[in-house]
Amino acid sequence: MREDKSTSGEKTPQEFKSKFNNTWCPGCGDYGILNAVKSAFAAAGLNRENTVAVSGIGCSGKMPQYLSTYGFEGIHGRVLPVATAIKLCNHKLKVVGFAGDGDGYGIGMCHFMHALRRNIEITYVVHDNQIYGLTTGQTSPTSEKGFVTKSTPYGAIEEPVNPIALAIAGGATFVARCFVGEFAHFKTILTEALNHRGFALVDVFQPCVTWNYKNTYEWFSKRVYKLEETPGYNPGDKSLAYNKATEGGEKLAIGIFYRAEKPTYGDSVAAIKEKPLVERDISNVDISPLIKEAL
Amino acid sequence: MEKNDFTVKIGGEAGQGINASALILAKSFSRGGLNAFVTAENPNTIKGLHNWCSIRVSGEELTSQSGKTDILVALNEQTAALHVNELQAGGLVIFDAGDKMVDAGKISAAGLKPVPVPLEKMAADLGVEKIMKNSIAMGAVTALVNYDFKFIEEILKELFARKGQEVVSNNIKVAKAGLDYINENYKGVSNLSAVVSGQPVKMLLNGNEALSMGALKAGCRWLSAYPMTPASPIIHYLAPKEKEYGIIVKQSEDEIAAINMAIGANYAGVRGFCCTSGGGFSLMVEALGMAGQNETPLVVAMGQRPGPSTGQPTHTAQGDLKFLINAGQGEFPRIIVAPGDISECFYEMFNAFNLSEKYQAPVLVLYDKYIGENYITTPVFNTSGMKIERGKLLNQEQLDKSGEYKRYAITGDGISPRAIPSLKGGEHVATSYEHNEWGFYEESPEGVITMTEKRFRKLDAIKNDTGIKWCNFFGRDDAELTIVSWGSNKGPILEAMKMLENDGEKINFLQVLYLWPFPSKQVAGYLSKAKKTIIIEANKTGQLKTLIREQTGFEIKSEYFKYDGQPFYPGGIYNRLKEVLR
Repeated sequence: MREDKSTSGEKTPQEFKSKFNNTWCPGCGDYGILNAVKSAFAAAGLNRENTVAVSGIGCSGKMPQYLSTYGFEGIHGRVLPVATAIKLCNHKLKVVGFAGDGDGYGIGMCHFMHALRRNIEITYVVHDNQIYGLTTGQTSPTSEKGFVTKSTPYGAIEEPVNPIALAIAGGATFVARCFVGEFAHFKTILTEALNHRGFALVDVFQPCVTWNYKNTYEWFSKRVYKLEETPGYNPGDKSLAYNKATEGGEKLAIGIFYRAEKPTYGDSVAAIKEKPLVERDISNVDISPLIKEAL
Repeated sequence: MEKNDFTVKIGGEAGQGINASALILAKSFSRGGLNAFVTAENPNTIKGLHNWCSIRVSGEELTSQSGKTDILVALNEQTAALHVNELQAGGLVIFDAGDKMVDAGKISAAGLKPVPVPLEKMAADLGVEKIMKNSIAMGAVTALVNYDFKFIEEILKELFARKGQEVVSNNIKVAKAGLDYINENYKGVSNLSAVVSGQPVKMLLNGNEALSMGALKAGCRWLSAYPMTPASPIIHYLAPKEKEYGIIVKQSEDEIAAINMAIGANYAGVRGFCCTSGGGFSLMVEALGMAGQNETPLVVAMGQRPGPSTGQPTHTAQGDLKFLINAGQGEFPRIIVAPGDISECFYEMFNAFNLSEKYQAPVLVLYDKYIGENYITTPVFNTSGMKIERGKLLNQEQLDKSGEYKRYAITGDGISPRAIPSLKGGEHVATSYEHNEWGFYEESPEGVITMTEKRFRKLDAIKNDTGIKWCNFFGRDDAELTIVSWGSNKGPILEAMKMLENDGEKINFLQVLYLWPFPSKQVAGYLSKAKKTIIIEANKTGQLKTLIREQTGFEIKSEYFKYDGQPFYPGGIYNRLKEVLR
């Protein structure tokens, strides 16, 4: 069930760069994600032709355009259904989903919850900047309560979504949060996520320098701390992970919250036991038993 | 009344196994070389309330139900009360002799023949569950039409073989008891007969099953769907075939996921489809446009039921044609085909997969509850010569030989060679944005025009595709009246035509099979030769009628629209056509 990792020598981040010019705002946190992704792809030994980057719409949705792998840039919120089918149709591929906090936790929330419980083998990177950037600055599902935006001039009334807690509760087997300002840490965790057998969520704090006046690089830098450096923290302990995900307070934990080994969805699908679905011969399917059954 | 053409209606409470008994009975006739047409009427209830199933049997080919009943099996009092008036004079009513609610005197007074059978008592005496009284009734019907019991026996054997000899003989014993009871007590009460014909045995299946078989034959390996009447039986048919046919059937969290998954499967190089009804299709619309824009093959089986909104979930209609033609923002090529019978469900579903890969465009297979759920005897599908055509799908060798790969390369026919993941050198982004040849964002007016025109050249190519059977034409050239219609109306229309021909009327019938791109040339050609014309549709506004006007300028003068949730009956069509001919 693992993707083909036949490597021809060392991979470099550079080979995962596409030839197209970037259109993100200067200083956007997405550049950090793109760089970490290219580095992690190389570190995980992925091949361009066997990797598919799937995205929706939003600033995060542009990721596949800046990668040299296969890509599918779909519609808003629907990253996971597309990625799920691609993975099940050809499980030799490494399938990586890219979404934003709006794409993934707003319009695409339903698919998120179901992908979690399926433990489908997808690495899901969510660009979490607490704001709608591409639509020019409205509140997002992860915006803090009271956050003033164009659509919430009197402050957001709702509590923010807690994607880490939801992912743990929902059945994900790899749940991590990163901050683009901590590049080496981000790259390491992303590489581990790519090597994880199961659904891996990497929620990434990524400042929007154009629309989010509050959650800046500086703001995050002051607050983040690493779980790996937290004495006694064990990502194999689900209740500890859930408590950590919901601890509240000023500080923000980054790192691997939770990790577990569990059969993936694909492991239980009879049709792909022998070989990937896409490799099956369809030139002459015999339906005579079905005709006989109807007689 | 022809002896060898009769209708049996079985009614009772939902959950009494009425549909299963009706199918066994129908199959027993079809095994004898006869034709059967099974219609189930399930009000929107699961268990406990009234439902019924009718089986029309004939030595002649059947394309429709008749609307009249010869034998009514009333497993509850409500059936007798509701359906007695549908019986032909001299019709037979089987009911439980122990059911004090059924008034035999009333039945006789209506010119019908009561046939009380102690169903529950017999079941008790035989030591079987009360629910098996429908098996007793099955045997009773066989006796009333003087038919060979061996077919029922044979089918029960096959059906219960896996459950062991005891279950088999028990089932046969119960049905046989019904047969014997009639033969002993009601000899000669019926003048109906089902005579075994020497004709080759046909299949008995419904449109959903035929669509599923067409998909399997087409090498489809993926179905993602969210349950919705009347399309759910496709899920039920294909899900148990996962191991045998290597198909993944995924019940998704909603229809949005279903279509996005199906598009993902096709992008990965696997033939996949989704199935739904109008409500689910409404949710799919945005992704449909994506498949149009990123040129990913896609097949959607769309089973209509009456809307708007939840409408009438378990009834039939043709109200979604214009919705499908226009579904999605912007403009993109698509193909819409509306099979009119079980065979067309099979062959056109197969064709749909070829066309969607050939033109890298969505193909919508538009059917309805009537054809989706009715079981109709159909000649065995001829699969010889059915060839998988994958269009410009590249393999590694072809990709290696070509220069720089451009997923959306500008070509004469508008179709660009397609690479799928895992092919080296074919890396590209399939995007929902307007794009250039490489799949990168395109905003320049010239670039946008170029790409739009490229996509629409595919529509021209489709229009000129000589492999597509756009229309079917039935009847004589020198007709006084030309019927125009689409979809499942085909069956009742063909039967009404026979009735009119027997009257000496001159009729012909144009069935528009492919509704988009609209076959203007073909339809205009037929209509220009027509004298009087009438359009028949199961909707309120005449969607095909107005489409023909829009696409050909031809206005069809007479119409027969039905929007009561019920199918067309040959008798109703006959009457309407007589009016127009007058």
